[in-house]
Amino acid sequence: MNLIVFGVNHKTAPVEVREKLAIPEELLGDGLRTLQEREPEILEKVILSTCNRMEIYATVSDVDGGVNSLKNFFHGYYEIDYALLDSSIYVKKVEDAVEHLFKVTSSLDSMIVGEPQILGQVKTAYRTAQELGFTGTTLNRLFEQSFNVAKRVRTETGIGKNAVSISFAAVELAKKIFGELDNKTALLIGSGEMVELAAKHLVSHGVKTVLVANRTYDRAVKLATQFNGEAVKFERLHEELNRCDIVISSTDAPHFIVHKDRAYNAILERNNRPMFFIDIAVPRDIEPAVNELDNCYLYDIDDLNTVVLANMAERAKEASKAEEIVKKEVSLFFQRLDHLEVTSTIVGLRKKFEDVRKAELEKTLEKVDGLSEKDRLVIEKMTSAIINKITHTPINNLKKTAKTKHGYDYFKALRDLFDLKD
Amino acid sequence: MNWLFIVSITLYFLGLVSYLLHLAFRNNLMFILATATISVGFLVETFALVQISLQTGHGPYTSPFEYCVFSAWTIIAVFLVAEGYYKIKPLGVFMVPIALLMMLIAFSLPSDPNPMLPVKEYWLTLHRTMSFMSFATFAMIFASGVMYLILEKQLKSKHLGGWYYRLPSLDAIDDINRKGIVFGFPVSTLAVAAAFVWSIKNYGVVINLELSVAILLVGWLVYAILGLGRLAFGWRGKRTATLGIVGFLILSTALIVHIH
Repeated sequence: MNLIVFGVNHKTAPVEVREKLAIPEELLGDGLRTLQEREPEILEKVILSTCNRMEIYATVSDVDGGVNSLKNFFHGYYEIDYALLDSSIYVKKVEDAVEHLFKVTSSLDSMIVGEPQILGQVKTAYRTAQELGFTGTTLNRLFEQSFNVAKRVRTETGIGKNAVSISFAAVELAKKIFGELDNKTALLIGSGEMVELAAKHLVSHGVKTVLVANRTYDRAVKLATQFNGEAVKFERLHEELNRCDIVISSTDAPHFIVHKDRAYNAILERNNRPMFFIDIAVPRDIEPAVNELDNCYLYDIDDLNTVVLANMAERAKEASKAEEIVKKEVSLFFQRLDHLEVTSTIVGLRKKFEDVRKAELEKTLEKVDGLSEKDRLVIEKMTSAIINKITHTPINNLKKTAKTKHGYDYFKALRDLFDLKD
Repeated sequence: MNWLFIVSITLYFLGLVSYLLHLAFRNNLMFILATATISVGFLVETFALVQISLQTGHGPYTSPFEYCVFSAWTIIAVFLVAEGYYKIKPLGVFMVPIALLMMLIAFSLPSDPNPMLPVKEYWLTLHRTMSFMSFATFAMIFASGVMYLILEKQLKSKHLGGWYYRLPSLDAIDDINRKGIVFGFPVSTLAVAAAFVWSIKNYGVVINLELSVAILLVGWLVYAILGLGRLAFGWRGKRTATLGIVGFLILSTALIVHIH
């Protein structure tokens, strides 16, 4: 099997190079067709283009020739010079190529390890190529298995588990405090992209009621409508505090808006039900001493950043587990492929002999007269026996060598000698 | 001593090791193996307890040796129920060692049954049964308290370590404390009341105030405060977790004083 991966990613090429090579989804078909026309040596092909990578997965009859063809294609299609290509391109062959795809699909090769989008992107790339008929047995098997590997990695390791963005980290912390967020109430103080994003995540994780307070009441009303919530007059903020489980604050006030004594009162009125304060503002909106109160948890922007860093380290630990899975799956892939080749070669060989036998038998029987039905059967049996006896030893030897490292050469030789097709 | 106890303590120990390995490597297979090992150990110990009860003709709660193995058994029973109900994977790491410790204490004591007290007296049997049940429940509250304090500390200090990623939410852990006290406190109160009744019937006094009994009553008082605080004042979280830990330490002290 001559499989290669040829391409660039965020590790080998800066964005200036990657943006030149990117192919938008709707033009993938066009790219594949052009590749087919210009470089017919490339047999099967899939083009994967995302913002962090541009790769071509291909099977070729000759690896080095194939690499050159792809290089020519890149040069011609993108009008990019060879020197720049050489400095940023990587080529991976056979086992390395399989391992690479498994890592990419499992999000181990991503800029943010464990991010979930890549699987969908690989699926789209593969389906596009498959629908246009640019994939065959090898790439079909390879991609289908890579999806299984990605699924396995996701369920058996925690690489996708811990949030690596501030707003998601806030949601996870909230879950660590409250368990489920159903029926919880969040209060947004101020406005801004971060507040909205965090609120959006909270609502999608079950938070039921959203209160919004803003010095400009109209703005509060506007933001509240967005979340189906209620606007609160800024002066009444402290009276509403006891209703809130989660408080997200991001105003440009130069002083604290929520003080320790206010938070303390709120906690007492809430019968000690916990409160989670998220202070995204700089300068801070919530007095740091609030964190000292029992059942009160206060995270400012730096704290959230620390959490994100800890989460990333945690993902990295899980990634090494995932790499083990990928390694096992690579060898499994080759085992299955070998098995498949053994079977298809043997079936092909038998069929070839059988065709010859049938054709010759028919010819001969036409020429001979006066044979009874019984005679015909005897001759038929004899020819079958000849074929079976002749093929018995080579097939047995083939099965034995399949497991050795010269296995592939035997199959290749046999296929070439007898002109066996896939 | 019945050799089945040695088999069960070995299985509890192996189970604990598997829980620790599961915690370290987050390997789910280890977790399943751990629970399976503990369950088998539990069955073996059940068998051993039935056997000695048949031999002596009374329940396994007359000699200090019997208290200890029996309370280990009830702790494991409560643990298996709690683990199945709450699905909190690190619970074993905190509860199984308590049972193991009880077994080890038992092994340091003479194992012949030594009935110092009448064995088939209604109020005394009630007292004993309720005591063991509440002790095991309080062991669960203790374990949840330790988990709560660890997670609370990490969340407050913002130094999220391995426990942060392994423990369930504070709310889930606090729920163990809540449900535990709702069940454990009435049961322990029943145990105390039954002891009073028995004492009046046999000795004509409400209480025979030995040191261990005094300590036990202090422990019961702690749980009374914990239960009242939760119900009447809405206490929860760190305070109730701490009370659960303190209460169990006091009960354990009473037990040790009583044995020696």
